Amino acid sequence: MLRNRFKAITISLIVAVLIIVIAMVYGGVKNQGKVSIKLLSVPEDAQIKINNVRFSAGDISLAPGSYKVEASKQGFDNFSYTTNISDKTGQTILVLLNPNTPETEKWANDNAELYTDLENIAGEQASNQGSDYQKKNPIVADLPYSNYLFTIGYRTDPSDLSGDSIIIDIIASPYRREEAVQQIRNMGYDPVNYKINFDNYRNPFSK
Amino acid sequence: MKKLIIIFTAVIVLVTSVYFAYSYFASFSTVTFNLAEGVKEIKVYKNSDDETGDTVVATLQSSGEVRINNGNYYVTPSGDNIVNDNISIKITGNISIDIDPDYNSDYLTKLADIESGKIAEVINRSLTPAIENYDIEQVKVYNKADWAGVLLLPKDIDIQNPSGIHRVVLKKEGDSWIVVGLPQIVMTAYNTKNVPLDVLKSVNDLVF
Repeated sequence: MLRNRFKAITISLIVAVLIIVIAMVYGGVKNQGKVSIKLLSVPEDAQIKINNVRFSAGDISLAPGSYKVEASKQGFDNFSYTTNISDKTGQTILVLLNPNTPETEKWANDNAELYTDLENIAGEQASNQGSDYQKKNPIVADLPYSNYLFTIGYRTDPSDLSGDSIIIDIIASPYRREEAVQQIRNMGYDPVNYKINFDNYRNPFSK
Repeated sequence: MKKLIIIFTAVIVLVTSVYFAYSYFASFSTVTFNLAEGVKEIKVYKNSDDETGDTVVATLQSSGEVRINNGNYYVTPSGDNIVNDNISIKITGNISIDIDPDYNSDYLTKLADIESGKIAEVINRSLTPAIENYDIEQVKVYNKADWAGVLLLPKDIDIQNPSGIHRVVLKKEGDSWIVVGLPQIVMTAYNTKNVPLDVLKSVNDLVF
């Protein structure tokens, strides 16, 4: 009799544990293939979109791949870059908006330590990941490009201390500049995303 | 002993039930949709992972709250003069979402006609004296008619062998237009800051 009771208890315990385990496994399966990412932002309440999906700063889950990160907030410069998420844990997506009004500049000065912290994390990330031109600037795989009308080259952007940004240099006569820009599109890249310098060009509208 | 077994079993059942109840309720979020002027209705669709297809989980004719399961959804707005493109949303917790679609192309064309005089006047005033060497060829407005792009053609352009074509972006602030940055051969996120990328891309696509 007593043995039967113990049997019943054991079975009910096993069933209860099994149900909880199944529920937890199901929860895990839903996030399978995704890695936990820390999304950090200054200011913290910036509107952040990753591949056009809104996110808030905090812990998020993303599948490995390339993601376009965009952020905005009134009074701050828009922020946009593309980042690659690998299957490694401990990755961070950083959003840092620069102020562009006297009010937000004051806010940034009052909260300078937030910017410093994020810049330190960015620096650590850069040194961890190494300066990998090809990954961050896939266009360099197709450059330099040259034909009898124009040449498209690139160089490191000295204003980016990380050393990962580039400037596209176009050497072309004034009649061929648009064609050179079109060639960038033909290669599969959007010129809107690059710093472009035309050789022997001075903007006629600059004073 | 029998009593002990019953109590023990009851506790297990209770813990399991509480866990499931918590998991179930925690998976729901309150989503507040704020519909902009001109949006007559939105339909909220749940993305389907299987062959059953996407399903409508909510329809709203005005701003309001919807309580839905966390996950990936998209919203299809409809109304006067707006684009009906799907808006993707990911629900991970309580959130407020503004549904404020851009104007559709027909309406933007009408608005461009209305605004082109004002825009030309601002360009002529802001870009003097260099603008004297250029003609304003095209005026387009984008998004909520709060951005404009204009093609500037040199007056001495050789149509067979064109050069010196520039593009300029303007932003509407209140009732006034302002020129953003300098005209450029090609607009980039670097030479024309604080302008949505889709606007810059559209301005780059202007041809004469």
